[in-house]
Amino acid sequence: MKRLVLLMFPVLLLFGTSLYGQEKTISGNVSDATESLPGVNILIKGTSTGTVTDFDGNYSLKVNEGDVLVVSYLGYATQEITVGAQDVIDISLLEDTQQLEEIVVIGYGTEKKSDATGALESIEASKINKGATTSPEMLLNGRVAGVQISPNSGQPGAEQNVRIRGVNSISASSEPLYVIDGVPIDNNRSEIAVGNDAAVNSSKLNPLSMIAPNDIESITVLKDASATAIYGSRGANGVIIIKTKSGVAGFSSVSYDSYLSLGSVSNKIDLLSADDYRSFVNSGNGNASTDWQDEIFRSAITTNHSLSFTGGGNNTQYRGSIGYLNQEGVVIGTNLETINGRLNVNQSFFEDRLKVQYNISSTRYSTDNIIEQQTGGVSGGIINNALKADPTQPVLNADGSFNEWASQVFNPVALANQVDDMTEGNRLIGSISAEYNVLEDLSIKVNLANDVDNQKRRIFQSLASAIGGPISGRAIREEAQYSNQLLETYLNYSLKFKENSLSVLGGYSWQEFDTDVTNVIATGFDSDNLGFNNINAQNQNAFALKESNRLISFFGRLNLNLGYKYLITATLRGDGSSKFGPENRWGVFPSAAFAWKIVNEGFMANQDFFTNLKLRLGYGVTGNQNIGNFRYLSTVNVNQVGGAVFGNQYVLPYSYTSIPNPNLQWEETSQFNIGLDFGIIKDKITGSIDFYNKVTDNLLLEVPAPQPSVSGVYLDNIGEMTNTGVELNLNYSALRSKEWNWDLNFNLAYNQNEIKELFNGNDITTGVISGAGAAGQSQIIRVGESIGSFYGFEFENIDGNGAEVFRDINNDDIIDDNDRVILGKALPDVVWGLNSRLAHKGFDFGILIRGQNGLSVFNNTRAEITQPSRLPGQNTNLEGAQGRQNDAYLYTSSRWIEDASFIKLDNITLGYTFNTEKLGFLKNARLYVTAQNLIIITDYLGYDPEVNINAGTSTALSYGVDYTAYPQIRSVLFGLNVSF
Amino acid sequence: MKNIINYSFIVSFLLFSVFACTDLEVLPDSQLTSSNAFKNKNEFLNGLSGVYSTLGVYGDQLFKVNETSSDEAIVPARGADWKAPPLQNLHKHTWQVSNGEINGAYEALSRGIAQANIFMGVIAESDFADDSEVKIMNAEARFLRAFYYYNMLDMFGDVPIVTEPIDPSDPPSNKNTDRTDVYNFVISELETLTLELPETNDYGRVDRYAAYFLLAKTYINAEVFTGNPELDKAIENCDKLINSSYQLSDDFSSVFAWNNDNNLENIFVWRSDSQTGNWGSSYIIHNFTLNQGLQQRYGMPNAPWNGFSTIGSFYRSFSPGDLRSYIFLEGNQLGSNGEQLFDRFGDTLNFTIDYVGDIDNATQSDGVRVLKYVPGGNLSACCFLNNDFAVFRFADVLLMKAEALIRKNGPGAGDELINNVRERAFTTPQPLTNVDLDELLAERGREFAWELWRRNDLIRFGKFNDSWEYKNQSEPFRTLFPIPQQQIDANPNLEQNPGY
Repeated sequence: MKRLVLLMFPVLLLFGTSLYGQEKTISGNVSDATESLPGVNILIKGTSTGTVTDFDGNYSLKVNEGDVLVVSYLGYATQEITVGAQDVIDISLLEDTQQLEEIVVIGYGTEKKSDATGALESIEASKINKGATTSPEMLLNGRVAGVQISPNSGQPGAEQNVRIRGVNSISASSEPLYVIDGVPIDNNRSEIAVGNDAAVNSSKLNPLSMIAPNDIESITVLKDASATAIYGSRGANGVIIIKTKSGVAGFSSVSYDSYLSLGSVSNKIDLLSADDYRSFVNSGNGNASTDWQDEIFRSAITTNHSLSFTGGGNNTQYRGSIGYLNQEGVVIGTNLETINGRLNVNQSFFEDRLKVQYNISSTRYSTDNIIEQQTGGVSGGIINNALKADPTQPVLNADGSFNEWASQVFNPVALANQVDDMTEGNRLIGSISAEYNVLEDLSIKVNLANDVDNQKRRIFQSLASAIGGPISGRAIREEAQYSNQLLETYLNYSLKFKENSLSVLGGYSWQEFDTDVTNVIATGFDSDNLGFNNINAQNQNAFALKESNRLISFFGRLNLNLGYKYLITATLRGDGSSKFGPENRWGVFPSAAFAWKIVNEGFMANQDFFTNLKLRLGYGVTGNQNIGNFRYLSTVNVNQVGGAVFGNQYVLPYSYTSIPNPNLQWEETSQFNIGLDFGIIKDKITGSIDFYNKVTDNLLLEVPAPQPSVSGVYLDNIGEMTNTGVELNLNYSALRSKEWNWDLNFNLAYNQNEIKELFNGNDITTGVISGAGAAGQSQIIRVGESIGSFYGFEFENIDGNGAEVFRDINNDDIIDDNDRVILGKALPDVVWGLNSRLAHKGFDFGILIRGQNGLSVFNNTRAEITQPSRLPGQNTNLEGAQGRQNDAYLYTSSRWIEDASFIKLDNITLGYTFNTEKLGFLKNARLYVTAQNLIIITDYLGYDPEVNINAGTSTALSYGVDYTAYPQIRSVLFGLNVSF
Repeated sequence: MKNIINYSFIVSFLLFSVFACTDLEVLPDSQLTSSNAFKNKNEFLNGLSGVYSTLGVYGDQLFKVNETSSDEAIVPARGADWKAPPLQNLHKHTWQVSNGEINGAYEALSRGIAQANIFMGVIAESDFADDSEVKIMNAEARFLRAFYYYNMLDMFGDVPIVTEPIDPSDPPSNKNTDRTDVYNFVISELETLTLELPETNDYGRVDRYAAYFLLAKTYINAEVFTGNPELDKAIENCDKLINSSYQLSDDFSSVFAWNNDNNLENIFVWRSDSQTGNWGSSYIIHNFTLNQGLQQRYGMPNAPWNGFSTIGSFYRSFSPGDLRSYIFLEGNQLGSNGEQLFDRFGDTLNFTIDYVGDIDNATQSDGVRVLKYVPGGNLSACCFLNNDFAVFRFADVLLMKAEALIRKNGPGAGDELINNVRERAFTTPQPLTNVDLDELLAERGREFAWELWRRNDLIRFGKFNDSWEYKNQSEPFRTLFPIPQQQIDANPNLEQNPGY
């Protein structure tokens, strides 16, 4: 890919040159009705030659007589002027109210925000302070109402959980669909399979971290069914459309962005210090004083450089960029490095009748991982061991070797150093689309795309390490390829008659997703010398997986605009998915929406309070098919291990492990949305308010299987849940003058989830409890409650004897299972964000404050740390140390369910843009400083209340469980943008 | 020209749409389906291997439930470690219908039955249904299913009898069966299998003597299962084995050693090989019981889990000099070089006969540990041993026959058989005389400790509800486990056992 970029550059540069004839220089001034306009593009038609007006609106340009000047400026109507004999041409531009309107990207097209009938929100990357963002979806946090993001881990590049308008599913994923430049991408990545030994677990890499935030122009979130139904069986969880930047005709520039950030953990967990520890344990102690959290945490440095080139003439525009990011994690041994290149080219032929667009991006990424075991087991990962390690033990022995003093606590610093674990990969997303205007009102578009992610993982657990030693070292090599091919073709027809217009879209789409994984695990090495690069060891196990799924669709949309007052949108998508059995492969997903632009009614003509008032109503049905590939089919696994030895012959076993369900179908979400868009006082205040009700039924649910069966559960379409909510989005232009600009945005979403129906009405438990000796589950899914409800005993106090006292709910004087109650819920009632952007002269100052209310987190980390039985040998906190010796506290109680409401000062940025008018070559220069995650106000006692480790079961995902999760980073960032 | 371009675009678009690919037939690439599995005869051996691999249940779920509900094993809460009321309740005989361990055993047995049913269904529909070797494989799968049903009969009593893959939307019922029907099913299956299974088979695969053994075992328990004793039939089937080439081994410990392959005492083994696989993946009894501090002594790649121990009264039922007590790890523990061993909290490792703490709050060292299958050979991953687990062994044949004789003819009638087995347990033989049922039960305890027979024995000898350490007298209905609530939730057609 990189070679391709290099090859294409000379070709592109050719477009930039043009032929010169009889030249002369013209000059003039560009203005509108009131003042001169700086920065106006003036281009000679058919070439890429042009200029830009200066600060006073003046320009000069070498032209030939007869050339046509194309004068364009954002917010104004473009003019074409033929050069005659004159040498001075003053140009007066007219404001174009149509053009000023925000255009939003929607499924298979764009539309004016004012004509939107669905609930959707768009953010422009240029208007937000990105900070040190490694992944585009993180930009939505606190900026778009109804989007909740909870990180799986604070490790650089780790997966995020993104929920739009709540959780829709129990067993299937609730992740939205991502569409990048028209290509729906697949983010499912398999986890390394090493048998029942969890010693290689670490966070999964977020596939979206391969999109450079600097390349993003806008992100649109489609929320209601009328907006998402065009994506049919994948639309139920919402859709996030990412559009990358492309070139602009007549505007060429080179930009360089760079930042350096310094980060640290925002918070440490309270534990006994070495001295405290000694006061409780008086024998067997070491002589050191070690704060193990300090030993594994560090100041993390992130550097980012990105360089972009953009330019082009009327027929060809391009934008190319190259970026480099190196982000250290706050835990030693973690790192993310990405290098990406992108080239977007637009080319038009036959007098703009044929438009071709190429987008190609390639990212090379690599991460250093640590063992970040999050569930089960007593050996634990690095953070777990740092919280467990005896603070009186030194990190190193006197001879400089790592100190290992106990069989069940590993020196976490040694673990980080002695285990080499990295992921490396290349992701290439390339697409080409061609749109041909057959008639003025009829166009045909063909879109082809290929997305290939080649990933490799390398692990070596050295003989010296506590986990590698007993098995004489372990090496793992994994090669994985995830790819997706897309072919789409669609037709657009539009018709205008008087004040009415009609547009119709119809198309076909074919998309296939492939996974191809091979891994080899070797144990029994004689030395550490060759690491994972030579796996000729005593034992080797190999594994391969290849599978595909295909989605074929027909879709259509009709937009009707009656007299600029009434807007009607109807969509229909028929999806066929290979994930379901032959009888149930095809599903139809319809939607309809109506909008009434009240402000355009005659009776509103005489008021000037409202500049916009639009009522939207929408209803539609969408699906969710985020399940494994062959759940309808009886499959036979050919395994390597676990088979029988007959005589002297080992025989590979064929086994049946899942129960096929040929009747499987999509999970279906019907959503009703009513919304109001408004703008008042000359758009000083704009905003929208939406109410929605989502009913998801035929839930894809792992239900208990009647026995005897080969599995305890099977997947069926059973159950129903609802999400009901309100979203508010308010923008206030507090100040708007030549010197002052101050914009405020407030967004808030309220959502309530309720389980309506489950298999036979039976409760489902999930949220697996982790920790030494822990068993059971912390969450219950119960009819009438919200998903993610915590369940257990209500903790009252510790009695005089040191025993935990729980509330006897049924007053039978016995505390047993019948005394368990709902203890809180992991999903917030309210998610909100407040953004402020203030600009004065060259200064800009931005703040993002966001928060969540009405949610709880199960602090499994604290539950484990507080166990009195940790002493002696394992560190605890004061509460644990003061408990009865060798006692065990119950994990399933409200004692560990904490209020996780919070307010975060997420981003605060101060920037200064230099006046570069006098420097002809420098278009723009800005310096800024950003602090991220600066202040958290919360009662939560763990590292961060925004946490969601994967503690689900095979039946149900879990929410809001924190067990030794990788902490979030707090950082200060210094950045520079310049463009030439 | 422009029109030609236009029309060609339109035509190609329409052609494309009309002939648009709508093929959604995507099959697994790394798994087999009915369209390509079992097309060659040798694949049936793979299928059989898959059925045998379900035997892993024996060392895990069945072990936990059958052993800890008896007087020879206990899982105490050791601080936060192993603090799991379902496990402690098993020993206390206070389990509830939702006990996860009991459900685990039910599901694991069901898994084996289902795998066998599917495999037999595949054979019936294949081109090889009449092949003589494939027919033997069919009989082996059928035997394993009968073995799992025997365990269902023993533990849960009345369960639905299912002989083919079930449709989840039409779940089976046990309402029209009772425990006698399950008993009759097991007996009739086994009677047929004594004819269908071969006289000898590869080591690791069952022959007809496994069927004779299980018939004897079912008949000796007939009074418990149905109310009607079948002692003569038990003796008859024991005699088939006594007259076979199976025999007692001279050395007790060699029966369980890591290199116990082809030991003629073992009639039916759950075979395990640390390198190639382990018939399941749950050979974990040694992990259950050993303390973490013992990892190096046994050359184990991973630290064991320090859970299970025996109780004082059971330990004391062994007389001094009984070689069978090699299985106990008692008192202070030293490493292979004679160094002192410690638990993971740094305390000396010293296993106590009686608990210092109690079942709900024991110390790390409380309780004598039981290691019948001593790790050895080349050990690879976490849970695999090289020792083959003796599921059925010849010593039991002799003691079952002795028991039937005592039950028929009174104390002393089984002395010769009993002393036959007991002889190798002492350097100088210490024969027993006039052995009655109580003494036989104690002798069975010493002989078969931690081999999963104790619960069954205690019930048959009428002692299961007695009290012992950390267990009070329990209700008679507890001789059957409940049908797990999870199963009744999944299948409302099921009926709960009496008393629950």
